[in-house]
Amino acid sequence: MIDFDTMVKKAKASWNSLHDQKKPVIFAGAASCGRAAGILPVIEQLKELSKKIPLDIIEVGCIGPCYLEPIIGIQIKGEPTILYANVQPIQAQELVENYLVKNDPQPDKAIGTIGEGKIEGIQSFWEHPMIKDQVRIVLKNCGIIDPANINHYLAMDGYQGLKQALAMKPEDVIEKVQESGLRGRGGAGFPTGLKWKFTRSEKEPEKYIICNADEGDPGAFMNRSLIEGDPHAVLEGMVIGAYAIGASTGYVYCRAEYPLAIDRFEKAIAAMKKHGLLGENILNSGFSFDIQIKKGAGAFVCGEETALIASIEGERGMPRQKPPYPSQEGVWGKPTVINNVETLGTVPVILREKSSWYTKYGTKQSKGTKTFSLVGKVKRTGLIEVPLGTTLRKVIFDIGGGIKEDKGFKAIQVGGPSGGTIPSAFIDETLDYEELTKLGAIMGSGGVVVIDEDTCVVDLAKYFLQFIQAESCGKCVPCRVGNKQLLDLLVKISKGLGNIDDFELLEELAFTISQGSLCGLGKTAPNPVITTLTYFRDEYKAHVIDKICPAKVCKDLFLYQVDAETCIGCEICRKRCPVGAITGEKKQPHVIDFEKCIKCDVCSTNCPAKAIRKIDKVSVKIVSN
Amino acid sequence: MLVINGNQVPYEEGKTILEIARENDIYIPTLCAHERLPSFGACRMCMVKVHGNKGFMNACTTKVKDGMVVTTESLEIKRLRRSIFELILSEHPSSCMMCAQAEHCDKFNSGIMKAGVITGCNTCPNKETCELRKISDALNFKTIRFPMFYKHLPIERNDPFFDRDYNLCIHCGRCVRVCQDVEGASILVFTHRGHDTKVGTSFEKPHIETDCKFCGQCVDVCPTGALSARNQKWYETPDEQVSTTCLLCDKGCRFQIDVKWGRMVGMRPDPEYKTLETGICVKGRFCLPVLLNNMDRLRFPRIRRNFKLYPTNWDEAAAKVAEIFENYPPSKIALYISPFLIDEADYLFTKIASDLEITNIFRSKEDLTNINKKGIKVLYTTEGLPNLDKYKSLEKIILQEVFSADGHDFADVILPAAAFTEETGTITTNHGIMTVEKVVKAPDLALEDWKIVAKIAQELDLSGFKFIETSEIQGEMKRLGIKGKTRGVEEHYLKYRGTAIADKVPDFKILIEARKERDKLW
Repeated sequence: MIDFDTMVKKAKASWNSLHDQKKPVIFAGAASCGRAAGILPVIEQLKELSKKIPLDIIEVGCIGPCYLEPIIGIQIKGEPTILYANVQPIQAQELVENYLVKNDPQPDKAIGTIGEGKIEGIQSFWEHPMIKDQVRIVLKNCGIIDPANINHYLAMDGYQGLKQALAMKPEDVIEKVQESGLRGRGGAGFPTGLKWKFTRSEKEPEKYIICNADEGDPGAFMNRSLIEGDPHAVLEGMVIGAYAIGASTGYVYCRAEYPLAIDRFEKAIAAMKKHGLLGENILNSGFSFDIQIKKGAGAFVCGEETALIASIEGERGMPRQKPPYPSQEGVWGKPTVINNVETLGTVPVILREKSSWYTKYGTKQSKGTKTFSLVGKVKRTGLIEVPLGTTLRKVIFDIGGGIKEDKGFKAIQVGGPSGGTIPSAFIDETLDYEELTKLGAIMGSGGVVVIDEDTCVVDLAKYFLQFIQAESCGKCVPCRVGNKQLLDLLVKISKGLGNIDDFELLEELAFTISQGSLCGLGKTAPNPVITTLTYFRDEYKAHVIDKICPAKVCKDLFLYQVDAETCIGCEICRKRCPVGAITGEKKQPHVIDFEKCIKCDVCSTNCPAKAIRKIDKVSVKIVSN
Repeated sequence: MLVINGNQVPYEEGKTILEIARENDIYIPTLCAHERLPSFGACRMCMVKVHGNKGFMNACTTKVKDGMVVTTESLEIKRLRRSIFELILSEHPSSCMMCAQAEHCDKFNSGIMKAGVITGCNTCPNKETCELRKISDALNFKTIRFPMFYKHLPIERNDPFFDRDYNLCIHCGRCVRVCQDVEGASILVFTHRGHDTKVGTSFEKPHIETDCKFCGQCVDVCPTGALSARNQKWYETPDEQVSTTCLLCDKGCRFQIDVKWGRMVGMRPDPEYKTLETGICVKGRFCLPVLLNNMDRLRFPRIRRNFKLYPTNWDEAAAKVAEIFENYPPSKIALYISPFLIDEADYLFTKIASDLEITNIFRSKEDLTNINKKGIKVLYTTEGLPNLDKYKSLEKIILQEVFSADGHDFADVILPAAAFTEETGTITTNHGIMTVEKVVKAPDLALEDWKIVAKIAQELDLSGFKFIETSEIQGEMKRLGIKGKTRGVEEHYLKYRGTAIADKVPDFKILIEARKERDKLW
């Protein structure tokens, strides 16, 4: 086995040669998000092109701005890489040909450059409005390196943290992680070092470490992007953690719906073994450790640590009561550390750098940076990483570029279905563990869903509850029955059938579910209802008392009507209506039959004159024949 | 120091709050907790407050610690418990608890009648022992604020022995745990997820197609009427419960038998007998009442006159046997002693044989070949006589049986015997010597085996057979140093004395028919 320094030297040489080589290199953002946006046909097209023009095509992970996908970067010797957004196959070929053959970098189509040097008319990618306020520590390599190539990771100071850790005593490793103030990035924010310490202090010699990659919150994809973009960082963190607590076996619990992430893990593990970074006697330190991948079968609750353990053991993914905590009795009844993907991905940096380097980011109690998936009604969606304590305003308006179509900002939903809805009034509050808890939300894994004025909070709460009650494991009464009752109540309210007593019932159910449930899923399940009920009570009242849905989302509470003055009589709506509810002559105002209308919204979305209005049902007296 | 509700209570480390509370007569309502099962923490009824912890803790999983201060009753706890119980009842038919007439109904209405669907009022098989009703009483429950939800699940009656109505299931998981943790079988599991979660078998197969042993433990632990033994579900609370040992094989399982109106109506493993908790088989758990309450039992002694069997009294029957014994030399007489006799009866048979110098004592079917070999003329059998036409030398047959087994129609004397649930005595099993208790009276004139032997001995003027109780026989055996032996009856033996159990128990027949291709029937 070659020694570590030689390995790094070789890796750096290989990385540098990629930039110094004569052949141009195309970096294609080919994580799941890029693939969904259509990068694969682009790659096919470029491969075809490479038969004519010599080219190297490298698949990299996600660099962040989802709304710009598919993204490709073109690098020619001596020049920085130029990134182009929203590329389609033919257009990609043109871009490459223009740049390589005609030496025209087409600044109007580029979004930025990466690397040393400057190209006239193109700003650095790091100055891009979505990027410039971010601090990329965990995501440092994502979208930059080839995740399937261990040399790229090594060239980026990869495994330096592990090397340093192995030279330290395990207790000192834990001490350093504690000093960094790193807290669990999976949601609850438990101090990572402390968790390790507890597990290490257990007498039982057989211990385990688990990487929780069962990311399941709707609208959250931070973990997936990190694994797909930089799997070695996560695995390095795992080996460090294993060394610190004294584990000889680790499990990666990754949901089966992330096939690319699993593939990245498998390749990375194989490469690590080949390079002596995993297996017997890691880097000649005498420490041995192995990692197994377990695929989750698609149950949201398996992200809960005790359910996850049950699932690894081959049981039904049902949580059990804590204590005993996994650090006392975890997988196979042995002390176990369960860390989130991002937590582990952060560990190598902490070991590599001075503690004070990491603690300079974040707030007093929430140190470092956190990745968020910024989605919903925001202009610039994507994966971001900001220091904890960044204000919502900065995230939504500076990084996110504000609300789509410049509509009104209503609220954000943080932390997925277990999180809470924070209204626009708290725009200057900060994103950190303490502040979010104070507002009734939780950090969760880091999904940030931006909600605009067109969203109904009752409908939103209904959506999350629908998800939760379907994903409940069914074990404890408050979660299984309570959430169903809560959902039924919300459905009733959204249909305009609610009455004033329902408020009391909603609150009673929220109390019972949050206080009575067995696991975190149930305990936090009513959060969307509690927070919306607190911050948007008037909107609930409108549904219950006035039978009005102010956002015009709850279909039972509004009707479609053609505004006779705006209608140009183009007949589009009449032709498109699937149930024939619209009548009208050419160039004459059209009329919608309320009784036939199924509220499919086809007329409204297709009306060129924007003449279709939603009016409150209570405002119309329907005369039925 | 442990304080519960302001009082210091004694405690042992390692026990849960619930266990300590129960030891100290402090009531905490529970539904999923069961003394024989590992704690589960699913029903959430046992929520208590532990000083210094935020939120509520469930008493069934939280271990006591020194210095703990626990509150089991407060307004807040009551609110939570009531609310959770309300949620349970919103999905469980509850008119038997909530109805304004419930009290009158319980007092004056007759017991439950056979009905296909449980409407929750008067047709629930578990009404008398329902644990929900107990909690409802304890919490003084009167109304449910949430809309009621009936699950409309089909009632599963497609398996022998027990019915399943999962509309009554409250998901306490006791059946799942007893199947997995006690029986090690994992036939019953949770299926589906979310609100649709239910208990059932994998892939919704009928139990008979799975490896279910029909041990009935799931039925025993069910707190509601969701699981019910088909043959005992309509009897309400039994008049009494008697413990005895099962004699159907050598395992020596202890049972508690429900008695109602002088009949055996059901049985379950004896909760007092923890060493035998597992391994209860379908024969003992479900077949016995049906088998022994059967109408085909022999009820009167009969003797043959003019080629016909006529009922008679015991004196005449015993005299007839004595007459036969006196008319044949001992070498031509054989005794067939069934392995299903209690030790005392077995001993008296050997004693009378030795007094009469009868040496032909058969103990198995194989021994019967000696009939032809030795030219036996008189057979006194306690286990029927299969393939009668093979034995040409036989002139007289004396049949002492529980059922009209093979050979009945050709017997000269019929002696109706009591079954083992109708006599007191001892039996030597794999677990050593165990007692057999008289649970019910034998039908009509049927008599304990040992009493029949004693009667015959008296008729033959033999001394030393004047016993009033089996304990006297035991005393004599002890004095003489005679010990009972196990008889070598396997668990999967399908007969009781000379009769196939399946012939008398239709559900058992279904089971063995359906599984005849398998190596093991259960």
